[in-house]
Amino acid sequence: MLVVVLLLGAVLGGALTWRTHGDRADAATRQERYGAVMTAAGTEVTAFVNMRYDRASESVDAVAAGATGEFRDHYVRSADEVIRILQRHRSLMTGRVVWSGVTSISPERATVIVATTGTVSNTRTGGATRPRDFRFRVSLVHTGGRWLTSDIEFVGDSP
Amino acid sequence: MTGRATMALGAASLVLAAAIGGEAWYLWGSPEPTPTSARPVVVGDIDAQSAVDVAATDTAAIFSTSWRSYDAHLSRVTSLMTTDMADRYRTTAGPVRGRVVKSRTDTTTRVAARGVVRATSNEVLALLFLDQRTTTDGGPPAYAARRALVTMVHTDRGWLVANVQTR
Repeated sequence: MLVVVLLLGAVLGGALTWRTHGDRADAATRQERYGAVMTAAGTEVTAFVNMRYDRASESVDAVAAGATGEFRDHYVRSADEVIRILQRHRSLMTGRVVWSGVTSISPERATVIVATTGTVSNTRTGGATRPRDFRFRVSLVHTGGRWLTSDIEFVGDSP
Repeated sequence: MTGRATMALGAASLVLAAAIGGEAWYLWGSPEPTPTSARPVVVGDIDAQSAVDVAATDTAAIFSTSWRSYDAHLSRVTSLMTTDMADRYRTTAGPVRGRVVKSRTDTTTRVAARGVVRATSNEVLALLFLDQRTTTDGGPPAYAARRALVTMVHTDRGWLVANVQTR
């Protein structure tokens, strides 16, 4: 009798364990998505806030490498103009991500906000280095197994 | 029943009991995963988002002050904080009172964007973009765009603000 009760318990427990294991695997997949989108947004924004007139092409290529869709098309189309502006103003922009957080997320798309800190120097600053902090909202889509940026907006203060 | 059958049943019982013990540990005994950079959120989307929403509402309240009701503000917003945070806030906000009242300063804060940075079932880090509008002595408003990393902890009073870093 005891063996029968234990057997029923083990079978029931096995079924529960099997279902829970599946649920936890799904949860892990969902939760790892947060890390993946934050990493992708961080990489793209880091490229965006590190632009050098003396390595203008590489700077622009780094942004394009993490972009997709209309955003990438538009960026690539205007790349020559971006490079000209960087070189004309002898722009040196450096920065790093301070914090990033996920605003919304699904298996196909995500929105991440990113705060950066850094510096800028150009002809307008007379070559002096000025602190420059930014707030970004980054839209990402999952395509070809990668999270790529479909849009970057500056989040300014609104009067 | 023969001795051999009894032994077989006893061994089967032990194996089954061990299996049930292992299953029970897996179901109820295994701890919540620790957040990492690869897996910064270890709770469900809705749980994390709820805490971030509370962080947004409470932080906007904490950073919205009026010279007309500074004492009431202090008393109201410290109820949104953990005891440690409330003590630290009183220490820094108390001495500012005289300046705020004398210059008749009003500050309103709204949350322009919010996101979850890291989340467990008892602690959530929220990133908030804050837009602040400040008027002094009835003069024209000044605007500031801030970023805040808010630590929320879950207590028996619900989610409370445990720390705010701004930059």
